[in-house]
Amino acid sequence: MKGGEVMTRDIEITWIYDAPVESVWNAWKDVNTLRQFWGPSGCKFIEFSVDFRVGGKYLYCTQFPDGRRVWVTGIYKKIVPNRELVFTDAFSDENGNIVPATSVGLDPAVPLEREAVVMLEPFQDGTKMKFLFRGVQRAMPEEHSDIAYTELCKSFARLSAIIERKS
Amino acid sequence: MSKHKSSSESATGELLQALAEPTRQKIVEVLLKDGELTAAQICEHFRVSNPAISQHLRVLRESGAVVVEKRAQYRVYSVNPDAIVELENWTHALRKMWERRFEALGRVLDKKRVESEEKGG
Repeated sequence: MKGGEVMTRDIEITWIYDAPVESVWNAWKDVNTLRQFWGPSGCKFIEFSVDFRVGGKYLYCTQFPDGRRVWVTGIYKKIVPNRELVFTDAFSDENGNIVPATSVGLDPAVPLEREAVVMLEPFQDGTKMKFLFRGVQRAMPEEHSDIAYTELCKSFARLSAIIERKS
Repeated sequence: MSKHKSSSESATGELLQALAEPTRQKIVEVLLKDGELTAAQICEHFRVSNPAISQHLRVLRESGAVVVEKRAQYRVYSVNPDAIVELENWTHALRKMWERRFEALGRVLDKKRVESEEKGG
């Protein structure tokens, strides 16, 4: 695989939760739960604001172990309670103005905005969550996707630990 | 990021350019040590200091320094043996060139010595 073109890859993850659909849904809308599971591992949220309605904005600041701070913002595009959530994801300044991925030191091939789709459905005694993540302006370069994929899986595993029934 | 390589020289140039960057050198060294790693595993090695690993990986892949193989949900990276051969061939050609120059220099010096010995009598 040698060649000049940027290879791209959308992310699709299916995760099964041993918890009712409502619990998974609430985790996505409740900022206190989001703070516990979302974002890159090893980082902590400095700020997190959520305006959970269609057209509403979220803005958070996450701090990496080396002290580096990254702001992320997005808009809720679609909200169907307990069924489907669509939101955008972009790097920003502290005022929520979108900045290119290069300004946080990432690959210039990473699109300005990404879009996440969360789809929930009851599955056996729990919930099946289908998660899609793709570039808006252009597709995501595969190296970035590979790293994001692993981080997303870690996030969803953290959510499992938070909402699943303790037996 | 050209799609076409007109000669092996430009491929070598691209390789050397890719390897000229310290983080990318380190990635290649990590891959040589560990054999095969996913992008996320490579990131773990640079966790604190470098957010641009995906970009460096892309440059390395585009230059042919590393190859990617798909395994189920993951893609694993490894050093491209062809790239090492290419670099070896290049340094070998350089060495040959230097050897020829040293031989020529040696001949010139020998000649000078003989001349000065003849003069000095």
